[in-house]
Amino acid sequence: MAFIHKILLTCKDATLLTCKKQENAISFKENIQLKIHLLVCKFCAMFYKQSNLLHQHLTKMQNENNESNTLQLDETKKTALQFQIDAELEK
Amino acid sequence: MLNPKNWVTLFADYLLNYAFFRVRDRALAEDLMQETFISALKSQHTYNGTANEKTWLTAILKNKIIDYYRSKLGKNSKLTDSIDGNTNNDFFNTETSFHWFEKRQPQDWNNSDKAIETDEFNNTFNDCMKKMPEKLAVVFSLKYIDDEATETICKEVGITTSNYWVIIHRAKLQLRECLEKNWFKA
Repeated sequence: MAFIHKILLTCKDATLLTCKKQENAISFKENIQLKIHLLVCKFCAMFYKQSNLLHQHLTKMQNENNESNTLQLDETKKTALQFQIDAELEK
Repeated sequence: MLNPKNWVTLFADYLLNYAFFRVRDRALAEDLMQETFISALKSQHTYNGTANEKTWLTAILKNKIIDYYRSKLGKNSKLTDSIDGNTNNDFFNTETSFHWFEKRQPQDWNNSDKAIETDEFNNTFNDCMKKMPEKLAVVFSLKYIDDEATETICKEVGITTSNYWVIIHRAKLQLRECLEKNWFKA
């Protein structure tokens, strides 16, 4: 790896650190390296911005999904299942 | 006090939805829900009354989902699987010190802040999530549906921390690209 990448990071590393930063798993040094890389690399800067949007969206979805109750089990299946439970209880 | 006579009426739909969001397969979610009731009946004596009935049943279901995840992570699915079945899965060119391959470079998403509020975006997002390879999806759902700590996820599904980051990294690269191809450019 070229010397320059020790300071600037590769794009592969910069995108990985972006993911770590979103989960607060980045060190102080890594954070500075990432910031410098983002200043000079527009593609990684776009990845940074867009993946933050995704992160926010995913976090929002998590709250909605955990509260929603959209699927329902067919009544016939419910009856069959309760029947199975009752039979198990009789044993 | 457990009351199995009321389980189906009170908890079947809840457990079905809980499972569905995590395994993304209706038939499998129904099976897991059903197995949960059967396991719960067999281990009634372990219920000590500290958790309420719903929480106790959910914990049993959660264990079944983790078992399913472990089986998925153990088998054939490779880390290199991708959303679009593309065999060339590298985003970065080893020959140019890991710069982005030109055709995989992120493009500008115009007005993306507002755009992601729309239903159309939600639909594309869900499609891309569904297309995500199992291995990535498993870790993703533990992280983003269950909001678990990295160490917990690694322990549950039996992967190392560095493996965890490889998975999350790859998942985000793929998800971002899928959205760009199917929504921002559509």
